[in-house]
Amino acid sequence: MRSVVAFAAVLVLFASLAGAEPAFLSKQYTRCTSCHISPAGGGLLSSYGRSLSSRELSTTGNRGTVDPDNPAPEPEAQFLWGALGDKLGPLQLGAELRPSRVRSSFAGFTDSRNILMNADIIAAVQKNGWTFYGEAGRELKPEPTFGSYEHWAAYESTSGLGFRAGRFFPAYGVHLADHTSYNRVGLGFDKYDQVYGFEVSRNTSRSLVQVMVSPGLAESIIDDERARSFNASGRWQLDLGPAMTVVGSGLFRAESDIAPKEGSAGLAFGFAPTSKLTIWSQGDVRGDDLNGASFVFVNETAFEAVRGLWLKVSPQIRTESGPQPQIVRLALSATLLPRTHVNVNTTYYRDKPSGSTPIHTVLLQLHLYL
Amino acid sequence: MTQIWTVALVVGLFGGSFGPALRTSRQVGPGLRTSEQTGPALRTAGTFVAREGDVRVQCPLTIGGSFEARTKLLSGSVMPGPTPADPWAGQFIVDLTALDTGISLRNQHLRDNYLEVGKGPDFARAVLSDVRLSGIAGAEPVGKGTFTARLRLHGAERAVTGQAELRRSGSGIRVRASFPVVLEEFGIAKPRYLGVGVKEQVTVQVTFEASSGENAR
Repeated sequence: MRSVVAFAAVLVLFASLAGAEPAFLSKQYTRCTSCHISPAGGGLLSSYGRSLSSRELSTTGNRGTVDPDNPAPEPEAQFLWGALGDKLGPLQLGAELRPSRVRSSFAGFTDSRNILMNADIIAAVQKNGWTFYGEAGRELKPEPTFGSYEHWAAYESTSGLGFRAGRFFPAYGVHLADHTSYNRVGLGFDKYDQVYGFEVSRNTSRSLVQVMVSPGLAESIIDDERARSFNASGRWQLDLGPAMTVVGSGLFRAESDIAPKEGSAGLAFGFAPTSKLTIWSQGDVRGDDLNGASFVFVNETAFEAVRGLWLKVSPQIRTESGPQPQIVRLALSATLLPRTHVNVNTTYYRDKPSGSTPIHTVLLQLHLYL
Repeated sequence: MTQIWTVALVVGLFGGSFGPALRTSRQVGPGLRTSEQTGPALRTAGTFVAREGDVRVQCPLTIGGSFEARTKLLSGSVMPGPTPADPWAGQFIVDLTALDTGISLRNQHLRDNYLEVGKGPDFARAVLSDVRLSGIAGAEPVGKGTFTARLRLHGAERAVTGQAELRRSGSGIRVRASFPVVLEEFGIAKPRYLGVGVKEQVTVQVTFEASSGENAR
């Protein structure tokens, strides 16, 4: 029975939000905001991030020189590859589509399905330290609906003090692009369960501190009062160098009418020994009043084989907790970026629950970030 | 008679141009020890020669975090002054045309748009000279201290101040030094690109081994 639960959990995982790409630590980018608007990573790319996608990541991207007298991003790096020209003005716009096919097999059972993971429009305006950010699109819960899982306003002063308010994904640990990583699932923030909350931050050259408080997960605020409970999280990132960083995180969620009090604390360490290799590791201790504590460890080693081709190996483990058995994962993935904002990803997962046969999953996805 | 004047002129010219740096230990006085007293790395009035080093320019970003620009193309030679108050003779030169930030876009911006290395030798290299150590005796240049120097960069020359640590290393010395550079003081435009920029002050970290002149030949 526990194995079936694990199998079902694996299937449900493959429908979620797009993530950040911390593998770019090897390019000496320690902060999510190097490429993304959101300080927690993921979602809308900044103009700079789009430019990097074109000039440094995609196989066919522009390698020519930048005209210093024309600082505007090149068309290839703009929304819809520049189809709208400069009509958007200060509005930054992105469209995210992620058609996928996932095939899982377990003990003679096989499940294959096509999933449109993302079909979103994301917009942001940034001016004088202020950021206004919003997303709208299709949500998979459990029937596809239209909604907005992220909308917030933020301000950061020139001294690095900032705040953010609205519905957002709180910062915790390392935000791996694979949203099914064991360090991301189970936090309660992974899918459409962002918080309505308030975050204060302090951003300096060497460190980033983010502290969030919330009256509850966003969906509980909207239509499920029974699940509503106080949430608080904190994340402290200390850059030990331009390609080495350590991240400490904590999460507390108070008891609700339907869930016990829970918490998590973790430490992540990332370093890039070369400009093509990034190694991230994170260990978390998680627990709740009902099931006790479990330990989660995730490693992701990413290697840029050639320009536009990233290979990743990710061993992971989550120890037993209540009805969930200990489970060990090995994930192998290849991401090809043939053109700016076009990612083709293939990932193989081997999830081995304790005392059961392994679950084999292959995920093929086309990630269009237009 | 002509020969006498010629010899006098040569002596005068070179004596004046080299100045106190080439005086003997007896002329300099007890501040400098002999090589027998200090070991081979610290020969009296010895020249220290560096043929490569590890130069890292830490560039803090306006969005938080930082990146490093690196090169190993450091060379030069210096000679302690006759007294700790005197500057070291000689200079160190860093070739800026090969500064590497890890990605081509940043390299291009750094070298072409901001350092403007194509404008000529004064832009293609950085030159550190007139080094004066404080807290480290010139006669036995080992220890930690501060230094001042003249830095020629981007066609401008300014004074810089930093930290230095000198250790014996085989027959020479191992030097670790760092100093801040305010870009505006050297006429370098504020690096900005699509909302991401480098803050106005960067930090230069230099590590190199300098062989004593005799061993370096």
